[in-house]
Amino acid sequence: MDDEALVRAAKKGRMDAFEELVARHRDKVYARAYSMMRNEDEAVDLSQEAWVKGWQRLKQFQGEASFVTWITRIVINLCLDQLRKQKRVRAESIEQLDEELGGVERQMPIVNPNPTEKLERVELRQRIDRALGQLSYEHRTVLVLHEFEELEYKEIAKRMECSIGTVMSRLFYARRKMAALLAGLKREELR
Amino acid sequence: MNTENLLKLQAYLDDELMAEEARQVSAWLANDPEAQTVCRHLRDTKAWFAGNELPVKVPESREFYWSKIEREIARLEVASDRQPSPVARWWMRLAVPLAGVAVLVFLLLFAVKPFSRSGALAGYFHEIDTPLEEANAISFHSQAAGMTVVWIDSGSN
Repeated sequence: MDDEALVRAAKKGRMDAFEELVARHRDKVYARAYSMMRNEDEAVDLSQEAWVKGWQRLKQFQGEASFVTWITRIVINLCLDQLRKQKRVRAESIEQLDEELGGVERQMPIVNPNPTEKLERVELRQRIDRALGQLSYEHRTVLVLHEFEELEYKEIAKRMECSIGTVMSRLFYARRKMAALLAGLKREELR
Repeated sequence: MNTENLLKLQAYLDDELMAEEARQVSAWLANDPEAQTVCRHLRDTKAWFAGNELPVKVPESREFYWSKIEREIARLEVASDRQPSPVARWWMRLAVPLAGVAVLVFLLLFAVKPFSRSGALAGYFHEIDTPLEEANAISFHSQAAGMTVVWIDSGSN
């Protein structure tokens, strides 16, 4: 049975169909929560909350996007709410101030491209994940939503409740920082 | 290169520019080696991410993970069953002022009226006749007319 059929059955109140949807996509939903929260427990809780909300709002799902995209958007919104609640914004960090003052190119030197060349795929993924963990919540979120969720600037701005200009600036900064972190990781290893 | 141009280059690579703007950036790129370098770096950075998200799995068994979801759904459904329906809530909103009015009407009909009809204080409400021997004063109070008249006889008769 494909997702569409399971969604139709779940809409009629069949919990077993919904359980199957959870089983199929729970890793994807959890992974998105984890990439944003960087905390296993929170990611588990928020992903489960997303499934509960998904069940409650199932009638609103009209199939414009795939079911997995729809449920992923729910978990993204929950994570953003949670991050706002936790005030991880830390009252506009110094990093952000630099960024807004146009300090991006001065603070962050251009990194030699391909610091990750010749890396095995698994290792590259681990390094990217570790580097993501070192970004601030705003920069990581913008990067995750753009690179992994493939959301447009406009959509990211809406979800993060900021301007498109801020999204562009955060994305640029995040990419530069990722490049520097990945290059740094490589140098570390070469020592 | 200033921030505005860096961000424009990035938007160009992310396919976020309008057609006309994209053409302008493309022309600028063709003639600016610095822009080409920045563009290459940005493109490389973008390429690292493509398909390279670390696959993580839920650190709980399927059954345990689902059981918590199922429990929460059941709890919320029970809670929602206990809540009155929107129609019932509308009636309840109406019922509170109606009940207030009913209590008021009840008090007027059965508490105040019998009290006035009982006769015990009827005179007080309708007429007060208080002869004062020394002063020869008589007072009269009419509830209906809302007035009190006090007649004082100086006793000269």
